[in-house]
Amino acid sequence: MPNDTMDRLESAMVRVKNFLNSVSVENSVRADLFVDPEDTDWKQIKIIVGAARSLKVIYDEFKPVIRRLVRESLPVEVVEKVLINFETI
Amino acid sequence: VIVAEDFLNQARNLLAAGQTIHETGCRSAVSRAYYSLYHEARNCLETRRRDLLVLGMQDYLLTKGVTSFDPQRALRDSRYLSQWFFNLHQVYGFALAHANQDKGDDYGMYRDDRNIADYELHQDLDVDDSRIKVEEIWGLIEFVRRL
Repeated sequence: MPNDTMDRLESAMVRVKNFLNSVSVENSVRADLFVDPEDTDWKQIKIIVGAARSLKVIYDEFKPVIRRLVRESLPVEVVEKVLINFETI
Repeated sequence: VIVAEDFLNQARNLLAAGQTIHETGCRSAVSRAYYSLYHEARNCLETRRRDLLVLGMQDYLLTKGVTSFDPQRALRDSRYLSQWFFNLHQVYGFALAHANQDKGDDYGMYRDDRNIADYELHQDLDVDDSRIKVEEIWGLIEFVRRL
């Protein structure tokens, strides 16, 4: 991954973390490489956002904001597809 | 003959036992719900919205470094398509993103959820989260039906 993309990914993760901290939600944000187990040639940047809320609240209230924050740091011309997944912690 | 929604109904049935359900039931429910979505997307894209399908194919091939795919020709000439190989799970997500970026992203997320359910045994899946995921997937199925 190019250094510039790494920097942008780091920026995206910090912004997501700051957002969740600003709404006082315990969180964990990490990045990984998504490798499709049924197509190992397929690799994609994956950001896993954990939040101490119910999954419904995460989907309804946080998902749109987090997607926007990620896309502002990693615009489509830099990384076409970024997989964001959510989990409860 | 079954239809795509039968998988979704099976997912709901698997979760109907409530908190007593075994984790294998939660995993199966998420997996079945994803396949309900997959088949609904397939029905839609292969029949009503081939314009979106070929754009998804183009996006998929671009990620493989293939720049020569012509979506307009693919629409006209089915034999042209036979020379390419596609991972349709990825293609459908890309295709839906051309209708609505967030919905396309959601498709990718649910595909990942299905992979986690079937392959990542070290991750816990609980009943409540599985039920929410199944109903979220149902919401995306309804979106696909309106395309």
